[in-house]
This record gives sequence, C-alpha cells and structure tokens, in this order.
Amino acid sequence: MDIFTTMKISASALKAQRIRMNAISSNLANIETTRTPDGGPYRKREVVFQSSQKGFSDTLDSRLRGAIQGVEVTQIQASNLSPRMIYNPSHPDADGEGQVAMPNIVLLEEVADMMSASRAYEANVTVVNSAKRMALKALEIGR
Amino acid sequence: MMNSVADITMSNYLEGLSQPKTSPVQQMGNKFGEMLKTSLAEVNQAQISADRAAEQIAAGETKNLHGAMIKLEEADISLRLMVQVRNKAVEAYQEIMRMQV
Amino acid sequence: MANFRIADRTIAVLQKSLDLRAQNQQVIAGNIANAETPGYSARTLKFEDNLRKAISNPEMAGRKTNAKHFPIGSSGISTVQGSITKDQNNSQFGDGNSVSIDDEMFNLAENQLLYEAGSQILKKKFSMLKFAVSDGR
Repeated sequence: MDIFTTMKISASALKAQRIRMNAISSNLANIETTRTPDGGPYRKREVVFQSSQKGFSDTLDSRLRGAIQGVEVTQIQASNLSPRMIYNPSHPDADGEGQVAMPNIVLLEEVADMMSASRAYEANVTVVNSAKRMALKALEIGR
Repeated sequence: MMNSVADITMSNYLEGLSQPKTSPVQQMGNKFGEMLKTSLAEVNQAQISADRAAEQIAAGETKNLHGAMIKLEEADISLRLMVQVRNKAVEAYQEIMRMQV
Repeated sequence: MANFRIADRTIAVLQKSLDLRAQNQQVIAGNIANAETPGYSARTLKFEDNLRKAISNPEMAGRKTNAKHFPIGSSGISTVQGSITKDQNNSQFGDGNSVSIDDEMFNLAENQLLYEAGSQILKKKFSMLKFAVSDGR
C-alpha cells in the first residue's frame, strides 16, 4: 500500500538490466578471444532472469502477495553451444587442420540485446521517477 | 371500591398535566451543549489519530503517505471548524447581551 | 520566553526523524560518491528501530511534582541515535566495492521523500498550533 514497493521493484529491474549489460559488454569485449583460463575459446555469457519478491515481500498486502513480482538474476551461465570453427592456419591457436575455434558470439545479436537492455533500463527509470512524483504530489495534500 | 373513586376524579391524569415539563428552549440548550461536547471529543480524536499517523511515518512503521496527509488535513479542518463555531457562538452571545431591553 | 518549549511528543519525534534522515542523506551520498572506489564497503545508517522503540517506551519521563509543571516526557526521544553498519559482502564485484548503485538510488529517493513528508507534517502541525493561538481570527 505504499509507493516505495513500486520503487523497490523498479530498482530490482534496474539492477538486473545492469548485470545484463555487464554480460553483454563482456561478450563484446571477448568476441575474438580464443584462449581462456578454462581452456578453449570464450563462451558467451547469458543471464537468467527470474521473477522474485526479494526485498519487499513483507510489505505487500496479502492480496498482492504472489501477484506483484520483481526480477533478479539467478545466474550468469556460460553458453554450451559449440564454438564457430574458422579456417585460419596462420592463427597461433590453429589446430592441426588450420581451424580456429572462435567464440560463438554474433555482433549484431549482442548489439540488439544491448539496445533492448538499455530501453528496459530507461523504462524502469521512468517508473521510478513517476512513482517519486506521485509521492511528492501526495505530500501536497492540504498544502 | 377505591378504584372506582380514583376513576371518577381522574387525578392521575391531572397530576401528569401539572408536572413542569422542561421547556423547549432548555431542551435545545442541553442538546447544543452535548453536541459541543461530542464534537470536541471528535476533534480531539482526529488530532490524536493524526499525531499517531505522523509518528508512524516519522519512524518508518508505515509508508502510507497519502493516508497520513489526509488524516492531518481532517484534523486541521475539524479544528478550524470548531474554532469558527465557537467564534460564532460567542458573537451570538455578545449580540444578545447588546440587546437593550 | 526564550526557554519556552512546546512539549508535544509528536513534534519531538518529527524533529528527531528529520535529523536522522539528514544524516542518512549524507551516508547515502558518500556511498554514491564512492560507487567506483575499489575496496569500499557500502555503509548503512540504521535508526528506524531505535526511533520506534523510543516512541513505544518513553524512558526518563519527567515527574510532575507540581500541577502547574509542563510535562517533559519526550526526553527519551531526543537521545535517539542511528548506528552505521558496513556491508562487507564484496564477493560479487571484482574490485571489492560493495555499493549497488540502484539500491543506493532507491535509498536516496526513499530518504528524500520521507524527509519531505516529515517536514510537511511538521509545517502542518505548526500551522494548526498557530491557528489555535491566534484565536481563529
């Protein structure tokens, strides 16, 4: 029954989108990485979003409990897709047949993902700002 | 036998007629006094409930901002109304006292 | 008249909450300023529980030895203080910084709104007192 639960939900979304941006920037930075400490090329990082009520479940009315959900990133997992094999015999990591295992990251996919994350971030910032405006308006009752 | 004598004189009914009833003006006076008392109690209750809501907001027990602001406004308006009623009553009293008989 | 005090517990509570929230604003601003500092632990000011306890258990209420004395039951509230805790959970961030900027932004907005609410309520209470004092004219 308060405006702060709204802001907490949006804050959880902002955090999740930022973690997603971190994963995207990590993927873009390592788009040509063929060596990693675990061996093999870099594996694309993917974030898993899950709806949750962490942080505000105790302030919800009993009717809203279960209906209102925030979001959290439960894990950032490395993709299990097989890497792209590129023919490049002069590459230091080329195997016997001249094939190099490159990370399975498509630049345009990552850029599109980044735009979507950025739009979602902006949308949640708008929610926070409008919730704050509503609360300030409530303070004007009787001014 | 005594009953029939009582019936003829109808003194029961006469007794009822001769008891002094409270005059309408007096009744109005009592009602007005009670009304003032109850409205005073209500204004006090509104103030207490507004104080409680303000303390809850200050200590973070509730985050229901608009609820608290509305309670404060109710307390304010009821206080102002009561003060105006009192002022009008005092004016009416003074007006009556000014009347030359 | 300089020592005249309006002994209203609600006004004392509101004033104390404004003090504490102003302190909290500084703590949050410090966290946001150090959002990129390696090894910085986010600090939190906890005061709401202390304030709640002071409201429900008025300690050191003054005794009225004369019927004409003003009640001074709010001395317990003026001593309420917040405590600063450091969040040592630095595991998920590579440089040891434990500030989550979104949480700090939320805390900033919430703190500001509650400060403004307290200030607005205080203003309303004083205007009611002034109205009563000025006899409604």
